[in-house]
Amino acid sequence: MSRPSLDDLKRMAREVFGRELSAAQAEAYRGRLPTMARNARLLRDRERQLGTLDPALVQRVGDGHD
Amino acid sequence: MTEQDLAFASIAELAPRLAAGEISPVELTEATLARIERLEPQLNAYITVTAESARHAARAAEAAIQAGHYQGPLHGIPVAIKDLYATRGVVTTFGSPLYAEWVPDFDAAAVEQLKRAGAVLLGKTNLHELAYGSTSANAHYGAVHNPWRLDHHPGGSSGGSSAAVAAGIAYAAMGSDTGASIRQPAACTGIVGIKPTFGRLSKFGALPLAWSQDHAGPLTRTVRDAALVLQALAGHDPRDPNSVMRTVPDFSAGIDDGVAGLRIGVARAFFFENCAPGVVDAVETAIGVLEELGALIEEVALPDMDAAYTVGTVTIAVEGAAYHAADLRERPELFSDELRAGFELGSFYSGVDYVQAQRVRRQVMQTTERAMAPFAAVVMPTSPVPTTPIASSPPEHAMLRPRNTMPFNVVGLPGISVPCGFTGDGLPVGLQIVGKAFDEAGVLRIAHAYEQATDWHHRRPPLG
Repeated sequence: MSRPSLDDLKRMAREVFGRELSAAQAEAYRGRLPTMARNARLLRDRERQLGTLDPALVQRVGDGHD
Repeated sequence: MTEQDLAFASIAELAPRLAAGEISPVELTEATLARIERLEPQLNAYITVTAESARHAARAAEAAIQAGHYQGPLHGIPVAIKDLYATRGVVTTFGSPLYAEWVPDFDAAAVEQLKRAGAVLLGKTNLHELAYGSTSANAHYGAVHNPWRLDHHPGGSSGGSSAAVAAGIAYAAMGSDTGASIRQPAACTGIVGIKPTFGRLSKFGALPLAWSQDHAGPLTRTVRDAALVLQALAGHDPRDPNSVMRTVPDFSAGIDDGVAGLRIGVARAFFFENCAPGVVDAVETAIGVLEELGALIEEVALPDMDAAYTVGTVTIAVEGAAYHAADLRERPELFSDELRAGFELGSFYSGVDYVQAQRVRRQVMQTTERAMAPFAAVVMPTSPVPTTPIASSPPEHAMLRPRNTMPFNVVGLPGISVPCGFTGDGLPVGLQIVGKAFDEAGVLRIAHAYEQATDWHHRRPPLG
């Protein structure tokens, strides 16, 4: 995988997250931003497949269950 | 018993000798503290060693055992606590300067349970800052070193715990796992680490990284020891909103039942892709061992694992950013550059992104449950890559480390990593065994059968 330029990272942040990054921010986020942008795109690509699906429950009600 | 034999004995071996008075908890604790003092300059596994309180607890255990009040297999056993768990009267840093001077006035549930079982707490182990990372190269408390290769990391985030257990300077250690952080460091250091089902163990008093994916669990040198420690930790706790009220089985009861006739799925798609060759070789050999033991090995496709990994990384980023939001605004200088960037980026995801991730999560939970239904468990490499050298900027493939473990944090199923050999250049490799919800006993049974057919758990790192 080629190393993205600062301009690539700034464009990615603008297009995927609507954020304008300084050069310093783009450099600081270099390690994680491409993966995060890929993740956001994957989720957005799936939106139409989700139908009436509820979110996963991560809390319980009352004292729990067996 | 030589000093080395004592240091690397299992809890299951020591417990009956402690109960019979053949070994003293005081001698065991003193020997471990002496070994910590000798090896810590090389390992940096601990942030805090609580030598005096350990001696006090060891004396109390000795007196109780002599008086006929033996409490069970952890009584008098020296153990370590990841510095992610609150400990009454002991500084609890979470691996961050944000909490460098925090001395809790309460114990986390895991600490309470271990104390109640009579374990001797040796101290608090080093970790990746705020548990968000997989190398334990802590910018504030120094890098932890892998006992097998001192210039390599021991995995993370529970890297101090994995290094301590692998080096024989704790008989067990608490870890926590949000995407990999028990199983991956266990694999990197040639030991056992189990992440139980979500809700099985209380997380009360543990620093959250991502509420919906955090799991507590132990690291040990043998599978039987993992069962013993898990037994002490499991159970409902009303202080943890995710804790479930379910019967806790005897995790050791069926551990010797073997794998003959069990259907075990091999999940090659996704989990075997882009793995280091030495990792694949070791895991394929391990699968052959399970087959020789009578397991019915079949291919299984777990669908949507790429989506599960995506959901996991989004969930951690967003929930982590939420937990640390106030400190990121008010005290950003107390985060390392790596962590600050990671949490700031978490706030880039929208509320809609987070909810969509949780909807995809439900989809993945359903498809995974269906795919696993015919099997007792599925197996794959714990980590696609072995440990790598400690470096200020991690190599490109570092992003792969949580790939094979993260999906099971997302779906909440129990997973164990058991040592299954070494790469050609001598780095430990782990086999991950994942079971159905609340079937930790089944996972332990398979792991134990494999372990007993091999000798990886008898290997010792080349320390002095």
